[in-house]
Amino acid sequence: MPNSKLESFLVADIGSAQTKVGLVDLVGEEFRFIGAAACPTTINPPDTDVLTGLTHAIAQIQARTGRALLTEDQQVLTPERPIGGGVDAYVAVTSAPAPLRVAIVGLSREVSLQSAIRATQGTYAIVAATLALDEVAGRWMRPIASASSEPTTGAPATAQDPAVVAATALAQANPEVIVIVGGIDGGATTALYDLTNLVATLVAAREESARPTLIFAGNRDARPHINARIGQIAPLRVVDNVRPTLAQENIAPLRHELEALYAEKKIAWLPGMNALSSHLAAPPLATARAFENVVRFLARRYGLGVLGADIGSATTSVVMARGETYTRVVCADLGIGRNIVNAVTRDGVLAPLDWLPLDISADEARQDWFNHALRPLAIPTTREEVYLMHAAARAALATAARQGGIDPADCDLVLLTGGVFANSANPGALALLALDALQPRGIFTLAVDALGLAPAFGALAAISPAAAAQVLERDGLVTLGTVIAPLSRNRDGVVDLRVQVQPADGGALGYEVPHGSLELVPLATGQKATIQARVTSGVDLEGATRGTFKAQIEGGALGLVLDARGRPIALPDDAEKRRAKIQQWYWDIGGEVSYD
Amino acid sequence: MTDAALPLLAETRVLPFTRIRRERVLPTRGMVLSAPGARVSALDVVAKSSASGRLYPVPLARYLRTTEAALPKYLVKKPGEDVQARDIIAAKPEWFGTLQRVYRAPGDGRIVAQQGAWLAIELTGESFELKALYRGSVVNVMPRLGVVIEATGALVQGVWGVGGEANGVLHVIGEDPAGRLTEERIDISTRGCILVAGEADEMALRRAAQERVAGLILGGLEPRWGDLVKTLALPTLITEGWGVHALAAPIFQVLAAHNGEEASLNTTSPTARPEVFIPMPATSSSGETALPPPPLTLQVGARVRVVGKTHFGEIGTIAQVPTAPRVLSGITAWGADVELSGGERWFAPWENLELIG
Repeated sequence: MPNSKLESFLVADIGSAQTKVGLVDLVGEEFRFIGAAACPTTINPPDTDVLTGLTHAIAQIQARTGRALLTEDQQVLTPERPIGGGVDAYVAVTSAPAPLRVAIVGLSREVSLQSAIRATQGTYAIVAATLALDEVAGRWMRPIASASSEPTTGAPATAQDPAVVAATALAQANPEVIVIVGGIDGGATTALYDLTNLVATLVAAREESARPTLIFAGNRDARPHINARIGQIAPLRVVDNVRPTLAQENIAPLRHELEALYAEKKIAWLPGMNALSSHLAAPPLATARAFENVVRFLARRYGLGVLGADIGSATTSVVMARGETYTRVVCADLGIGRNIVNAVTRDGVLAPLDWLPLDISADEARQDWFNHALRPLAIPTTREEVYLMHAAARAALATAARQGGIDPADCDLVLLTGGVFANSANPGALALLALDALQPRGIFTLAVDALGLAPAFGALAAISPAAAAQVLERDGLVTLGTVIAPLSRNRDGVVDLRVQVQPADGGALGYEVPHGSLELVPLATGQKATIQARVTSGVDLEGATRGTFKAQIEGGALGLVLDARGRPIALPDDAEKRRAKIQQWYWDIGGEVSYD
Repeated sequence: MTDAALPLLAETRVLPFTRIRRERVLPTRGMVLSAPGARVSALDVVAKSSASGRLYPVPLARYLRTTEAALPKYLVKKPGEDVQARDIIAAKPEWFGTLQRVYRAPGDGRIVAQQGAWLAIELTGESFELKALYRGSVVNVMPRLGVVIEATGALVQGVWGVGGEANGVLHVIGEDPAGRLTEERIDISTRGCILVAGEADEMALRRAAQERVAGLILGGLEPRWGDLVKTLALPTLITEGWGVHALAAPIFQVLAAHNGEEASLNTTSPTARPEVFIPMPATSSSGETALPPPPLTLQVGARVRVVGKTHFGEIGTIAQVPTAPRVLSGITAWGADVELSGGERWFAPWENLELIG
């Protein structure tokens, strides 16, 4: 519950690779961010206690700020002491536990299973197996002559029976959670009961302590029977049908249940979490959930469509919120650290190396990425490494957004957080990364979470909304700039946009932006300007009235970005031309990585 | 700056003479064969489990062309009963009792569950024998699960491993840490050995599997051969990282000092680092007694290994800890000045260092 008397806070983000802690305090009338530190997350040998890493990070803040935060026995000093030192409250988020291994069984792959998979994608869960009754070509329910009539000796039941094959695969997947879905409310139940019998058999075959949790999210009318068949064997949780009608999808209840299970079965069992929880002002939140809170808060507060993306070491999550509606996707196997190899090898979205201005061989890139998976905290120290890291981040972000069905056209603010965006001194490269990966269109603002603690501030909001909001706005979010990105059918070189920029304190500037190019108009943070953008024939700019858009904007770390590359962004087929073009974009946006 | 201001670093343990404890645990519950205090050698079986636990679910009511309600009366074998291959599990009379429709067990096993129309058989697999792997003493028994072994000897941790466990004689290829393992170096004399080299090529990996080499310890391995060693099921440990890398000098020194001696390779833990262990008596010839690994402390003078790309794998010591962060490749980073073994002084972000020793 929010408490207005709380004035100082520690916020912690326990990631799969790194634990970050931030200190927030009331300075004058306003909450400000005071300092932060990070340590490796300590959940694997030789340190198997999250508190080790957390305490070490807090000790670093203590040493850097000179403020006493720990007692002699290394406990967080709470509440804040009148003579200084300590904090009033302590909150934490985590994405450190492995995702839940979920199996989904249902009647129809294209209907109920798809809905359940979408619900799972919104949480820290991996779909380890699926079984759809309609996928075994209707043979499931049909009697087959696989048992023999004696005295004639027939062949015994064969493993080729699709039902047996599917059921065996389900058993071998060894899920921690089995979700049963199927049937619209009031629909037929017979097939669902047969499916439940199979699940009950598999579950009953396991030792009681090793049985998965079962969730039923199917035909409401089947609940009593399902409970009678399975409720005695394993813990059964019942939630609303994911498909109450064929036309209606309702995945939120299942998603919430999976989220609760993640908290119970994973977060609570992190080594040291029990001791940590007793010191926290609120139960530890899953990082993606806390980040969702931040995105939804910003969407509500400013009445904007906000697209938030968090790229972690093991997980990438994307949230799209407008008003009270939101979509969230959590890819618990995609990241730029431990799961970087998945990010760059996941097929279909974009080939990571195609987006680099450098001629790097696939072998060289693979070696770099594989080594980064071994040591996910290692910081890039060469130009090539930085580009390869950005390439992986692009791939993770693009894959997650597509998997979540996120429509980047509907956003006014794109907010980026995660290790790659925190502490970076190269806003141009970050902006280009986000524009390439998400390919948002229209007119929107780009912002990054410079502290890398936005999800933790989402947890802080539960006990002090004012502190979370003020720190996010004053210290956490750094505006990169405003982006104008129209759709265009023009050929390269044909002018897409004509933009007039009238800074409040200077002369007017005019820009003609040809298709296929990027243009950066420097506008410093806080500098105001009036812009008027006119699109040419064949160009469509969302938000423009009769081809013209006029607004007052504020600058940022970059300024105004005119992205006339069209959507989707087309890359030349020829590798040399492609690299030259990408290099040009890096130069145009001021994102060239110069360190070597 | 005090020690409290220093971060935690990852550690690679390289211990010429130490005392360790390791849990040896069955994959499924079974029987422990060793008692506390027992001396065990690496190949001694300390526990075993009888069944693989592979479940075989059967839609039995459908096979018998009956209903789930009627199924129980046709069951010849009930849940909990053992079955042998082709035993009749269920029989349903047909044609006025002149024939019967039967379902026979697909293999040896045990009926573990029957719910509604389905029945599950746990098929008996090969019994699993858990070897001690570490020569030492059993200091604790976990009933039905396994044992804890205390052992003394040399320990080297790797960064990546695959292929399970191996025990064999250490065979160091070449005179230096960068020795390249080629197929010509592998023959009948290397069978059962754990080969130590800086790198290996594809043909060497294939030959090693063919010649039944017990395992490989490599400085690095090209990523494209990662899947190959998994396919070959060849226990392999990498000490430095992916790519062509020599073994770190301290690691090579320990392994070379025990060339020709028995060693164990363990790459099975999902959370702990893969490791090589070379058993030695609890008291060395110089009268030194093996002690548990002392903690590594990050301080000026501490030995570190660079794990970032620049100076990758080089060993050095912490020379100085700056009191402010620096900007590296567009990222603000805290770190330390490291004096590398070649004498060069270089600022490294903490994230790009690990303690070694």
